[in-house]
Amino acid sequence: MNAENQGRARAEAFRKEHKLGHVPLPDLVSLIELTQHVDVAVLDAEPAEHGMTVRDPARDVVMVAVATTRKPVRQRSTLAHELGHVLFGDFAPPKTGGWDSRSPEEIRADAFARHLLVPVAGIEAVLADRVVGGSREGERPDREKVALPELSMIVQRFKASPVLVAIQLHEGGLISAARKKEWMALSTPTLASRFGWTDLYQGWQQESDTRRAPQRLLSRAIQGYVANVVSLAAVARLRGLPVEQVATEFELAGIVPDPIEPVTAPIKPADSRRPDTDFSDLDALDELTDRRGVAGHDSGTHRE
Amino acid sequence: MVHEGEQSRRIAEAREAAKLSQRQLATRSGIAQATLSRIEQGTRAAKMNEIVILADVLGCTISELTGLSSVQERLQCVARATDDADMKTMYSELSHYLELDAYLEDQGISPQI
Repeated sequence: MNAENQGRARAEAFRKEHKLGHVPLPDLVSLIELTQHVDVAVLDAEPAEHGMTVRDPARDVVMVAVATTRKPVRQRSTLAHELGHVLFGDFAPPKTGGWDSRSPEEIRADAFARHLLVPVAGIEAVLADRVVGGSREGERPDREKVALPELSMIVQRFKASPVLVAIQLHEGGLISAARKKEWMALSTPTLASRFGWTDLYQGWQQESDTRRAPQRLLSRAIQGYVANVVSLAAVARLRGLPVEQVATEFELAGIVPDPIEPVTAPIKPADSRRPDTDFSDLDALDELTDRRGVAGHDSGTHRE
Repeated sequence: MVHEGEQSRRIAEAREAAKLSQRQLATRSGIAQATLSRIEQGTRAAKMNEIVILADVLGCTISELTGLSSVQERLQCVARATDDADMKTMYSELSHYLELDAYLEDQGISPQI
């Protein structure tokens, strides 16, 4: 099975396992967190850094990060791509470069992301609800009768790029190769402007450009702060906020560290001689030395 | 034995990750800015008590600053990038998360959710 088919089969199996049907997926961060029990963070990164998944093999802990961006559909495809890596277990030791290489694992994760986000069966179901090109409701839409308004509708509904949707439409035999090529050149904001959903798109942009702390770890760190194990700065760093802001927030929420129990002084023994001032044993040694001296061993020490 | 150049780099990176200037770090840690500057330049090694304070103020673990952690050495990863990005920013943030997670587990703090 090639990378494309592997990705498709895994995406279909994933939807089945989690009873997702063919409907568009809402929040992918929550989907990954809930199904895989891993932390997902949305953080500020360099422009060419889109997503990364890291695993600690000793503890079997996995965490995913994606970059904040004004390109919401790309962030979703990156999240789905990283989920693919998690499911296929594509991990290797860190390297210094070459992250943009098109290895079979990357192609497979891309295919997984595409089929997960926009299943062909999902497109067909959406199109069947509309009267397309004169075909009646419930009938399979005619090839080449899927027009630009349908593309816009699918992009909007599935929150996926025109590139991705065009490939899937072609894969499902709903558009020709020529139309696929033509539509792959379109951008999401262009379709949004043309078909009147720019306001919605801007809302998506705001969401994808917002930082999101890894929730499980943050909750654990807050618990650690209460237990006096980590500082407030550790919590603030996870949130990407100044310490003062987090301090104010915690104050309002009544989150305070547990009082630290003072170390109690040892109970005074009934015999009130303090060990450090009890020199009776040393005195006894002195007496021993004195007696030896008296016995005639003149060691040169002064004696009374 | 920790190489001092390595240690200075780790401290400077942790300060940048915490978004603090050297001056702010000096105020919060009580360590003179001149001393911090020498530590970050690698001309003076940080003493253990200074490392403890810096970890507290920078919100990272002591092992992250000393480089004595085994977590970072064993991490495996996979990434999506363009333009031959080195993934440094994302990798360092994610390794911080895993380091902190391992530390909290060591301290007996279990996940709540």
